[in-house]
Amino acid sequence: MTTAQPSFLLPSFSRHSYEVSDALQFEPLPSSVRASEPGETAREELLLKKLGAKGWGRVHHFRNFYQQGWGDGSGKALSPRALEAFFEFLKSVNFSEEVLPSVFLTDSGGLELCWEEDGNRPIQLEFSPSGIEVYREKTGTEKILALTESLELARSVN
Amino acid sequence: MVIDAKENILRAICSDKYDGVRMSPSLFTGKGTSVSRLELISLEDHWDIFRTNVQKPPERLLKLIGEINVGNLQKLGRDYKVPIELTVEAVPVDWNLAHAEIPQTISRGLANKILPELVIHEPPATK
Amino acid sequence: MEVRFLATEQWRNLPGLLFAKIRDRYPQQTDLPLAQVPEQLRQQQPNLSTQPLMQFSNAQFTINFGPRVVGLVTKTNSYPGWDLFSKEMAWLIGCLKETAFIQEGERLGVRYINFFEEDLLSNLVLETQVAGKPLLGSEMLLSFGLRKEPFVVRLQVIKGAIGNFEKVPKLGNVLDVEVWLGSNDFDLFDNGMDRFSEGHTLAKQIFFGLLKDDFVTKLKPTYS
Repeated sequence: MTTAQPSFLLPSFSRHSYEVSDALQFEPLPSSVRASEPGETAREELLLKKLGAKGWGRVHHFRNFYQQGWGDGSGKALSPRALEAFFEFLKSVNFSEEVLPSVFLTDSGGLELCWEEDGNRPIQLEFSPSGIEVYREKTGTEKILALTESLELARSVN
Repeated sequence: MVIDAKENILRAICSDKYDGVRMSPSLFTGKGTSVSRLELISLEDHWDIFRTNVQKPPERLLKLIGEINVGNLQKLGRDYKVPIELTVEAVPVDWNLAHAEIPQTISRGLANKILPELVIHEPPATK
Repeated sequence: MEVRFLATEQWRNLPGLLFAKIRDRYPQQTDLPLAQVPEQLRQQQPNLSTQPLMQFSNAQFTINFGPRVVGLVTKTNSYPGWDLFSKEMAWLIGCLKETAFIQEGERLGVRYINFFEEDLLSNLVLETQVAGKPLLGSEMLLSFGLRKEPFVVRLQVIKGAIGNFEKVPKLGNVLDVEVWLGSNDFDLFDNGMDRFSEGHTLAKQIFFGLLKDDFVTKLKPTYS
């Protein structure tokens, strides 16, 4: 199946969009190795499997580098509740092989997941502390679900 | 002060909203979207202003600048399935006298109409 | 007892907000060594970003405080019992509610670090073996991650630990039980104390469940 590019996708640029900062580009030191918390490795693997290395890196960045008041001072840090619902969703969703979703941090501290179905019909999910905003162009869906509905949501997009 | 439809406005696109493949519609969703007036400050100077005040390495890097005509933006709002009259209002701030805002709440669906209409500017080559 | 949270404000504003509420009861304020580490470096290490940067103390308790964490800790070797401890935590939660800087809870946990001068491993129902033979050694660190829904449990057994008791070091062994809930399983100001109580009960069950019966008898515990 050929995946057509959505109309607002941009031509590929030579520059990588995600770059590890200079401070992070050093040889791993023993002190950078740490024991994971229970369940943490499973989540890291989930991010890698479903979002790829770039997606994993972006979520890591959002979790660790975007503090309260980021950006122009109004940006909110990543909501733990939104992140939990995001992981619940990722556990159950299956993306087709050619799809690698993009992940963004919203100004209100939510995580936004974007990809396309049927070629170029966007699906966008925003996991925020108050709920999951669902946008699906193919079905004309624009609605808000409770965070506890992330499992059902995953089933509906599979 | 409401900005004239003939003006073009700019939106900083940073790494939290752009991953090299897609742009996030949350660039425009919600209320009070921040923009900047090209009429008052050149594109080149906007790169400097945004880099100084909006970018904060390593967390947030300025990647692109999106440009749209105010009249075009308003037409998108009027033609949307749930029509909305969009305005752009000048809200100068200390670090940017060209700063403006779109005071209305833009839905995700409308934001998805706006994104493809942006003229995208890449960073100028470093001298 | 510890709560990790997302704050409404940046760290530089938080100590003043909290101290204003607790100063009468916790007059002593101390910066911890980690506070000297630049924020950017702390942020790069996930296990540092949730550490406390300062302490507030009185004769009985210490409050650990950081950009994303607040915890109530008893003084070494002077656990006053759950009733008193939980009352103090309830008071602290009330102060936190008044400061209004906790936007969202991230984690709620209870941790008991138990130090034994006598041998511990032989007194636990836990066994370690290699090829069917007991694993022996003068020093050992065992760490387990478990789930007892909705709680996450971290259990650590240390053989060959050094404890500081009133500046006198003692060699011994540690049974460290930590249980916690994730962000969707508690609301600090709504049911926080109930959840702490459940965590305390679970930690106690794990602790006594690991000890052999005769060792428990020997310790002569009093139950409250």
